[in-house]
Amino acid sequence: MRLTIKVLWLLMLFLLIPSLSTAQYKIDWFSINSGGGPTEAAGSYNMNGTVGQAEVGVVATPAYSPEPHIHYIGFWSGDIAQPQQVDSPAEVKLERDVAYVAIAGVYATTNYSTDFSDKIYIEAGDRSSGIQFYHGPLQIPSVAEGDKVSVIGTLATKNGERAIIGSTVMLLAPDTPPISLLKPLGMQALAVGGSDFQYNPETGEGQLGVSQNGLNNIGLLVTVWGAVKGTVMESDGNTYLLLDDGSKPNAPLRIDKSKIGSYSDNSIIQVTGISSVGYIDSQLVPIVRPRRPADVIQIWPQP
Amino acid sequence: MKRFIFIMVLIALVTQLVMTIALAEVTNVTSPPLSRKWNLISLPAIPKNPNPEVVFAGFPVGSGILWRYSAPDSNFYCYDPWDPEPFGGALITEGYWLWCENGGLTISYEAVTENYNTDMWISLPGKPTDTIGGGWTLIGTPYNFNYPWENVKVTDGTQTLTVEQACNLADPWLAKTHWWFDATAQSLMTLSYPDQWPDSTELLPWHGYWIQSLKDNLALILEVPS
Repeated sequence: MRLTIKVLWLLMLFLLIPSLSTAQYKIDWFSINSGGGPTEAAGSYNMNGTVGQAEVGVVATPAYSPEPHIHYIGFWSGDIAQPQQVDSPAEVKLERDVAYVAIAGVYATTNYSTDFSDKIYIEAGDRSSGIQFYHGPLQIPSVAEGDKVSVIGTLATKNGERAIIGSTVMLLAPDTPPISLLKPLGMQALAVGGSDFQYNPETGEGQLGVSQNGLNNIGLLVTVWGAVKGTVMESDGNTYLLLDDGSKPNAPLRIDKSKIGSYSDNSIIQVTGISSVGYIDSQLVPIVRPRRPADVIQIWPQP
Repeated sequence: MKRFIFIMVLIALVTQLVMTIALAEVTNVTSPPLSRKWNLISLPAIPKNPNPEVVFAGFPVGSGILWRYSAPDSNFYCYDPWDPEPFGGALITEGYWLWCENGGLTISYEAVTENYNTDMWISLPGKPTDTIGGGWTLIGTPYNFNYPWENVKVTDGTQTLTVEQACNLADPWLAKTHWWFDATAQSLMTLSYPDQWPDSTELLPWHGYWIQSLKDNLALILEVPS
């Protein structure tokens, strides 16, 4: 009996030895990491002790490099998929659906949760391009309009509009000096949406436009003015205000009514919102999506 | 103390409400006197009613005197009251040719002036149907104040540059010189940034401008001075 036990102990010892002898410098597993810990140095090797931190995404560190450098929060990331780092929403749109992308240093033009419940919009700081970040029912950090952020997600096309789908959003340090909130761009109703942006109908890369008129501005924060020409419930199940500024005879611009109140026909209003699109009766049409009731101002008659 | 704070908050709210109403209104805007013969004009404020017969009331616009230019198809469209759709409405950011048989007349219309405080986007579509990039666009000054051309920015959807930067790219987006019309002299004049020694370095209210883009699908961005 004692001999059997001794043999078993020896057997266990022999089984352990290969594991101990093959100690590696790289830990080949997906880890959960905690914040940076004290560094222990011995000889030429440093070890930073971190345990239990969820890997939450990326952060840009402009203070440490000439241009924003993206690195991952957490350690020992192992062999997970690495997002493709891109510089702008425009660059994102050049990828195909299901591309896994990361953008750092863009600016939110909507407030998380209080504006749209399932998405935020982000813009390049020079207002050259913008895009939807769809998080759905998942929680993200409490992003406010004007916040500088980085995001990671998977590219998709939602109802004709290119979008990044994900839940990884990092709030970045504001610029020094901080830039003002990205202001909306005023334009004719005819200009909302714009033409194709490097669109490839076979691959879906780029962004499909809604007209032959002008540069694509889908995803940007815009302002339009015009007279209310009724309210309509469309085949997509949504209700829209129809706005006419004279630039699109017989084709008034649709204003998403889900966030705003009612306005009398022929009243003159100013509408600020996201330049967006949607399929109505199988046709892609431009839509402006106000973020909140204050995005619409009635100019005439005076309320 | 609580009453004092309540009163201060009330005053602040009322002030904000008054300011909001004061800023958002319809007002009348009137041009300087126009010259006899051709005028290349634009509208500085958003017409309350964009019907050309309302905006240009007092002018016989049904007589072939009002023209706009469509950049995508490189065509001129004359306002025809019997077929108004091709011309469309009278709009800000657009330029128009207007013939005045007699000098001294003014354009006067009811307008919304919220654009005076708004950064503006002006499309330069070019002519995507042909293989030569860019084209001519007849634009208008969307403000009631002079706007330096060198402060105008231009974007192609991937980056935004100043007009001077855009002109000096290896494949420039814009021509260096653009055109406006001196109605007094009945002569085309140049517009550019100061280094080009043009006749004018500013976009003037009520004036139209021929802008030559060298690449399709650009947009000008005019930022309101802070």
